[in-house]
Amino acid sequence: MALQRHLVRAILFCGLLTALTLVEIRATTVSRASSMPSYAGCYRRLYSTPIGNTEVVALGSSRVMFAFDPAIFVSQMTEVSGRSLAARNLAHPSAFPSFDFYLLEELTRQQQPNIVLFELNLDSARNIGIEDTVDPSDHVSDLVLPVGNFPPMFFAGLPLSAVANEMQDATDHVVLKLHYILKSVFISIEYVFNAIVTGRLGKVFEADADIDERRSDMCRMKIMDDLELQAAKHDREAEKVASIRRLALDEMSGRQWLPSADTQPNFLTPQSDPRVRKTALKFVSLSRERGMFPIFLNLPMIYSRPPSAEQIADIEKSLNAVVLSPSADEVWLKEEYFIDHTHLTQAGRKLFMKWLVQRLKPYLSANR
Amino acid sequence: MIAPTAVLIFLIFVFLPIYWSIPCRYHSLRLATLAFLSTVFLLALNPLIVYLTFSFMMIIGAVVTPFLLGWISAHTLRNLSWLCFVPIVGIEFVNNQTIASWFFPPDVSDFPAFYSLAFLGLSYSAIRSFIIVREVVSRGPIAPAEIVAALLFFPSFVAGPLVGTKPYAVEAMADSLDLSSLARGFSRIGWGIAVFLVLKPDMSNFDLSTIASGTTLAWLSVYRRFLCLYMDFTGYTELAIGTALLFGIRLPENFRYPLTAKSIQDFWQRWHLSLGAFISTYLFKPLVRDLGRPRAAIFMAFAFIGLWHSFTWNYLIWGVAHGGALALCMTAKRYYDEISTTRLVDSVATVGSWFATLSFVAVMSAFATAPDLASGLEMLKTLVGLGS
Repeated sequence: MALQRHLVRAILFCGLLTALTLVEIRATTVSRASSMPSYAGCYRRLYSTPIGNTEVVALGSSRVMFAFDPAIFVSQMTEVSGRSLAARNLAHPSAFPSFDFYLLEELTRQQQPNIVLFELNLDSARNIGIEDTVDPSDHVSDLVLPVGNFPPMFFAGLPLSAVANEMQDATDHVVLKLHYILKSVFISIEYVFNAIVTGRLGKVFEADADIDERRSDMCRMKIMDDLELQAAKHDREAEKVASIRRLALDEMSGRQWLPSADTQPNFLTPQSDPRVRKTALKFVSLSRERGMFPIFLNLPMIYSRPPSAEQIADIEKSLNAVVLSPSADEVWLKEEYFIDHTHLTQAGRKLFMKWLVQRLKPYLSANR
Repeated sequence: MIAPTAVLIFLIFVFLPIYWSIPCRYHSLRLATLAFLSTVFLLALNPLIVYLTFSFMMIIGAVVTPFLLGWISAHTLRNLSWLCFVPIVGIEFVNNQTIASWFFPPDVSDFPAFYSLAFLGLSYSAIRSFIIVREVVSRGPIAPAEIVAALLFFPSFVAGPLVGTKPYAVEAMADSLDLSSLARGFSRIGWGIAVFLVLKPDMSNFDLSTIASGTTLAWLSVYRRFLCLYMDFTGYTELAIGTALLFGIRLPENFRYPLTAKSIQDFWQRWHLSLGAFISTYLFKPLVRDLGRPRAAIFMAFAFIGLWHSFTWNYLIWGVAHGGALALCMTAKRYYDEISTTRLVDSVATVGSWFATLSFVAVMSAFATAPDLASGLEMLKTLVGLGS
């Protein structure tokens, strides 16, 4: 009996010690990860920073993250209309539409922007994002960080965007909810273990002059530029960046056009997640409800034919909202302005922003 | 591996102290802890697995309760035990989406990615349920906690060993965790992980086209596929047996050096022993009793096992071929034993038989796992040098 009591005490003591250690690790990780130049960290940083009086917000995946530069937007808008508008990019790599919808819900609890740009990915199921080709060891995940009002939901890196998406749709079903919570916890565990094994966890704790606000700011919008910057310093990195780019381009080149835009007048391809349409409609109704002007933004890939004006008109009709989509002959829809087949370079971003500002101008005036 | 090793280790480390802190007199509580841990694990993989496993529990309950109440005889219960295979027949003929729509909203059941791992271990659950029902016939009432633990125990859920409730009975389980079980458990988990994470990837990633081409390459690919299958299976089994040991459960061995088998009979006495035991006890022997013809019995038993794997022509042919080979082997052995041979002839025959056995099982395994009958036949043609 005495032995059992000792055993219970020992277990309780070890448990308490472990809990304290975990709390300490988490606190340190949260504080360090928020300023780390991490792919996912960018999103978290944007999310955790107070929004302020933002008037235009862009939501979407890494394509929007690379394409929409608030600084360029503000300067060009001032140039074109003489008005300065605060803009924010809340796009996140691998973000699914319903994750964006969740973000919008969060955002509108704090304030009400005038215009919300929502990425409408016509090839969502076909998109081979650069996030799949980037070596995860380059990035320190936000380890086990709670996201907003998802108390049981942990954000431990890119894959959880998908889990969050699924979970969002399963809120009414207890068993599914449990499944997604467990799945996300499992993924978090795997990430922490991988971080330990690959030595990435050490990066969070080691003193590193590079990990500061400046780098974090650079990271916010210029992840690939940052990589290219590193590439100039390190040959190995240069090779890596080159191979990422080559891989993505090789993947797509040789194909004339992706078939979806030709065969599918609607924006859902047979391979697409059927929930995208539902989320898009939810997005429109939420925007209208909160007095915001919803605009869908289609960012085509190179080697993929943008939808025709008729197709866009059909989509606009079905969603009852404006859809901005470039025509095939846009100057920035060229390989030289893309990092890979789908993400714009800094030069491409500038051209794209010019295009976007021109198209947004009438809506901004109208919505004022 | 279906679940990351990290998760498996984490779950074991979290639940082991909880499990062993329960006094051994609360046997049912220990089993409930195991069932809860297993449910957590399976629920994280896919919630449909949990629903389907519960459907097996309901079948067991539905067929066993009338017997325990004395409404039906043991003979009737034996016949009713075959109902345990209804769910696996069902998923072959009912659309996956329809099945999922019974449990989940359309948004989820329409999403193709939802079906990944959804029907994992279902055929194993069918055999487990069947064995449990037959155990009720022979042993009488079994504690519900034992049945639930036997059906859900996550380490053996996917690939066996296929056992009923015997290892979960109070007299079969260890009262406390001794050092020897702990060491053996960890060493077997370690070996299982090594097979999965080191040996198998190394083997499957090796580019065979650098050393061979044409028919030789096809043969090497077939042997490699079989070795990978063996590693998958043995890796799972090691993990299952090792994890079970940490929880004081002794699961039976499932492999006994099958790559050294000298005949197809010998192979089935070494490969997937728990499945072999099921075939022998519940299919072969009763059929021999009923038909009085062992060769026909083995043929029919393996045809059934082929369909149990999957309702496809490939697996049916796999079963028929194995059954046919076993029947042939039984006949050949009788004639071979009658003729006197020299030691040299014996040695050559043994080596030849070993090679022929391995080649046969490797080819049939590749044929069964081919996407369809046409690809399977194309593969066979390539192996004999007639490929397009």
